[in-house]
Amino acid sequence: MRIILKRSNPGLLMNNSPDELRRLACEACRYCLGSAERQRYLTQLIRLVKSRLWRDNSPHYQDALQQTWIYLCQNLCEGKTAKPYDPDVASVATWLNAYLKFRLLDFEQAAQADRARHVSAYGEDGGTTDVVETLAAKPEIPPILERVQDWLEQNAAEFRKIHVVHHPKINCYELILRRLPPEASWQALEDEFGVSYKTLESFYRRQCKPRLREFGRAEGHISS
Amino acid sequence: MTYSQSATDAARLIWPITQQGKRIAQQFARDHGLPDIAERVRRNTLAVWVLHEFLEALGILTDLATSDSWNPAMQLTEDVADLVVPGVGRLECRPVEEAGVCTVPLGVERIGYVAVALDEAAGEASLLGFVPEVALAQLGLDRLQPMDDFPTHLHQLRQGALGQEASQLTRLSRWLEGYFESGWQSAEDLLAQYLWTPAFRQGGQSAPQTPLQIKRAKQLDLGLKLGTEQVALVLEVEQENESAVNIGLRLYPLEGRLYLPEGLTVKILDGENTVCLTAQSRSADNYLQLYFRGHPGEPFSAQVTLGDVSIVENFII
Repeated sequence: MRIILKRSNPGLLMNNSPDELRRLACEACRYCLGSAERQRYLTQLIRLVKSRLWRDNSPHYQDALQQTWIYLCQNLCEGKTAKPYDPDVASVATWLNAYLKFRLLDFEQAAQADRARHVSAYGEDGGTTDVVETLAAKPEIPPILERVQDWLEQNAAEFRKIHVVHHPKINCYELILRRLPPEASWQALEDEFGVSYKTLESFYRRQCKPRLREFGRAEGHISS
Repeated sequence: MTYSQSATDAARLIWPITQQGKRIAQQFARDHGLPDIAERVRRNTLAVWVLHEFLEALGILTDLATSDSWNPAMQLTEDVADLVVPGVGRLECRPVEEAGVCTVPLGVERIGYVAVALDEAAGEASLLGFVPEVALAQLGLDRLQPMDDFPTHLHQLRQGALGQEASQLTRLSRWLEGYFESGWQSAEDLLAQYLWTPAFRQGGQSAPQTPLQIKRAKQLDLGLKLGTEQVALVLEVEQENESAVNIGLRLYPLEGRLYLPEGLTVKILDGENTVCLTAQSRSADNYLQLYFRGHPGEPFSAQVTLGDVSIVENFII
């Protein structure tokens, strides 16, 4: 079975034996940092070594794994944040598993310290701190739709002046308003304004969208 | 199992969905009052974040801040899942629906489309593969190229983008046919823009019977390091006969200035990069000029230098 698969797509269905992974690691390091070839081998290595890595149900497992992949890419050849990988000392999976388990331990210890702090805080206060009340006291920030609507009204006079040639009614204000959810389809707008949807869409793309984008960029998301 | 499915399965790259990614996705979603939009934003954010973390691990920079997928107003009005790769362009990172359907936007400029299957229960995502371009709004998952090839795809695009800048060649024979490369405008337009009209007649070798004489100008910005020093590079091209073309090159000050910056140097180099002609401005020069003659097909370049800023324009006659 494996032979058949290998024949049909040898590049993709390479095995993930320790020797093969070691070979990929050495290949990756034959190319310079940041090159397409290096990144290609790193991608292959990550894809194939994953099934050989330690796995548990820790809530921090995925974070620890992300850090492990960064560690792999930075230290496989050059050793940017640690000693570089030595193929004579360990297999790629053993090397990565050691790091992964340390990160899991770090996360677990940090969580324990966090829990200990909370418990002692409750102890001193006699356990009366009302977390729910503190959270509810935050001022309510309206959703982005309302903030866009406010911005549109504040700039209505200016936006009404920007319109499709010879059609003062088809202006920036009206089009942005209609494209806000629940948005009117371009076909419905074509019927309403009597102008082809291609004209409307292109006007929207050139005149409305950049203004919306600028507003959104300046506005950002409410931080939680 | 069909062959194409097994190929997809083998090529998929499983990537973690980190706590930070989940937090950002939830925070973005909370900003949208409508449940449908909130869910769309949440899933798009996760897909973009996973690709961002994959590229980050490989050492490929991305710019979330200028991606529409990170912009609340764009999330609200469009189904956006883009990721900006500086110097290359915008990637589309589409979450795959449960039924295996992956819908992509059409008519937007993208450097590639990546299909991302989110497995939130397992806390991970599968990068199923990518396609460089799409013709249909439905991405055929059996046509995806493996993620192994993705870095090469990005490098090729980046090299293409760099090559376009570096090797942009201005073909003067095409000018005589009436075609001009972008950036070259009529000299009068460029210089009038700054309310300064140069006396073009002086120094010109053109006789009234000259059949064809083209004059175009390009704005050069030498102020990258020295503040704003902009000059106009004006080229006059005149077909003397079948085998000889006269070329006049001038530099004028812009921005309403009367004089060129002192010490501005212009050099003409031949195809072997040998300096053939050179001129340098003194304290109060209105313009610099060089005249020479070449054969059709002959390459040359003009190097304009001010301090340690140098701009090279490549031409072929």
